[in-house]
Amino acid sequence: MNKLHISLVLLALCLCSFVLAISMGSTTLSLNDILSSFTHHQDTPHTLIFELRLPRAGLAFLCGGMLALAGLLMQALLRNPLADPYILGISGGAASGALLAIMLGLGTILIQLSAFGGALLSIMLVFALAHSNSSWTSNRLLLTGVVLAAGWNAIISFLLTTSSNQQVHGMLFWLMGDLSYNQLSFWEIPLLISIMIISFIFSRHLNLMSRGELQAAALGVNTRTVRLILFSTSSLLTAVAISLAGSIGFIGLMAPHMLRLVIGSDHRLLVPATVILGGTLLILADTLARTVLAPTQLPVGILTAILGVPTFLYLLYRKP
Amino acid sequence: MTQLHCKHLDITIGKTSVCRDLNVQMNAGESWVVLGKNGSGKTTLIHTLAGLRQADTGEIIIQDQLLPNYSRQLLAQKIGVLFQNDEESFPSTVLESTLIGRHPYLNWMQWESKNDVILAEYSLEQMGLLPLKKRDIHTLSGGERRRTRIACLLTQNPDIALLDEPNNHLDIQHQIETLTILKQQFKNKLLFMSAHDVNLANRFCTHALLLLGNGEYICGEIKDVVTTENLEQLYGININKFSQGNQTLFFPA
Repeated sequence: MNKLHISLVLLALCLCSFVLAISMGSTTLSLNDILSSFTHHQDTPHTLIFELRLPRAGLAFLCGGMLALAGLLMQALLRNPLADPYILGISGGAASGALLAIMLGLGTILIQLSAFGGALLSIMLVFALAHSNSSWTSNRLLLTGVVLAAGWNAIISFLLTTSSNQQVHGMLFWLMGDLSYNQLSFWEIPLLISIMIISFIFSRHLNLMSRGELQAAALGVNTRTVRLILFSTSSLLTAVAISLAGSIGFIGLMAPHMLRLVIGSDHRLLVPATVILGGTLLILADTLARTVLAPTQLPVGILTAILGVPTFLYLLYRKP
Repeated sequence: MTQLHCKHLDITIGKTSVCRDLNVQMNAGESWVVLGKNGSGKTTLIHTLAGLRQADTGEIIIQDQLLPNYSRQLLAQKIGVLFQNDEESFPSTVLESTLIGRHPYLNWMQWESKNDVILAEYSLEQMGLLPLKKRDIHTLSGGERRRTRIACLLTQNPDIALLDEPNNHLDIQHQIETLTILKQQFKNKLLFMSAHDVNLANRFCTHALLLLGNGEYICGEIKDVVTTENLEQLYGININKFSQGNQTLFFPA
């Protein structure tokens, strides 16, 4: 398979996942229903598709794309295949913020803001602590993140054990990721697209940075600028995605690595491909989360792991 | 033409003084070796000359301009560095790892052209690595990986090559071959390398810089600088000299 084929396969997969997400649910819609809904605005399928399922699929795609891109950038910048928003403790900070808001009985928007604040606080803590003598090594940054994540986990457990049973249910959903209580808003699409473009512009620089900062600098990369821009954008992506969808793990780790195993390490291909694959994976996971045990909805994080673990292991151990 | 000129250069790392008031002028067509004990600051000196870290005081002039006046990209067209270690953390083919040498010549929206690929493949051929071009570098031996890095430097083709122990991991056949190729490609340019093998340096270099470890240094033409007395002062052991024809060998007594 060459790179063109892989891109086509990816796009096809993405389209299929959207169609699947739109047709599956309490009422199953056929392809005919979907096509006719574009012209018949009064029908139930139209309402079902354009007011419920399509926005939710769109939200899933955006969050998946953001988390996957954030993971890709962090792995390249830290030169560590394990780096992702989860490992660096960013999800933990967001979760602590969100759980605190849920415990205080605040509304959706405040929960979201609190999660966003928690994520930013965690990012700033990691960078402030790891930043000393004007330079930091990636291992130190990663270790700081891991240790902070452990701290956040303790706070999360504390909040879980001291909350009422009713709240704990909501908290568990938030912790495993849940797309059901949020709507797509107008600024999220341009945000993802602009960060994708920024990452794409710097992707040849990223190819060099992943071979070591000194090497990159010696080949003409302004490492400080690139690092600053890409760390801030990936942090922003993570904070936004988590505040929208809860702490969905694994996508940031899985999507970039699956693609590296198939198309190699050139970030000029990886950046767009990771966004598409991350988005597609989350749509599929969310569709299954809504439907496998319907009318019960499962947290989407369970499904990303169920889908992701075997696929990932297959790619990792397949014969080249 | 002067390629690299250090004026009153002071470099320290931690508590070690690498050099104090270093004044040296290196011209096109010369090849320099820097000798010194472990930890005397050879790598630090190379990083400083490449503009990757700051000197305490003093000036570094590349061709006709002060080093800080260059943009990173323009500097990468003038100076290439072969580092002691590589830190590739993700899979990458031998050809991809060589092609990155063209990065300094591409603007932000350009991709590598056919011509860039031809240049990279030519460098790989010189290093005897062309048959391995599709292999992942992590499957190569240490010496093959080292030669890939050197092929990348040849592809970058800067005016000044700073090599940090280029012979690391190479067998004696490849040591001689690689230095011959480097010498050939940089014959009208400037080669500056750190090394521990005095005899190999003697064979390939025209000038030497000895870092004595306390900030003092000796520099000049290699025949004047690499002498039994200086080497004994440098390494702190007794050195014997053996001459046959026009070959001179130094070895520990």
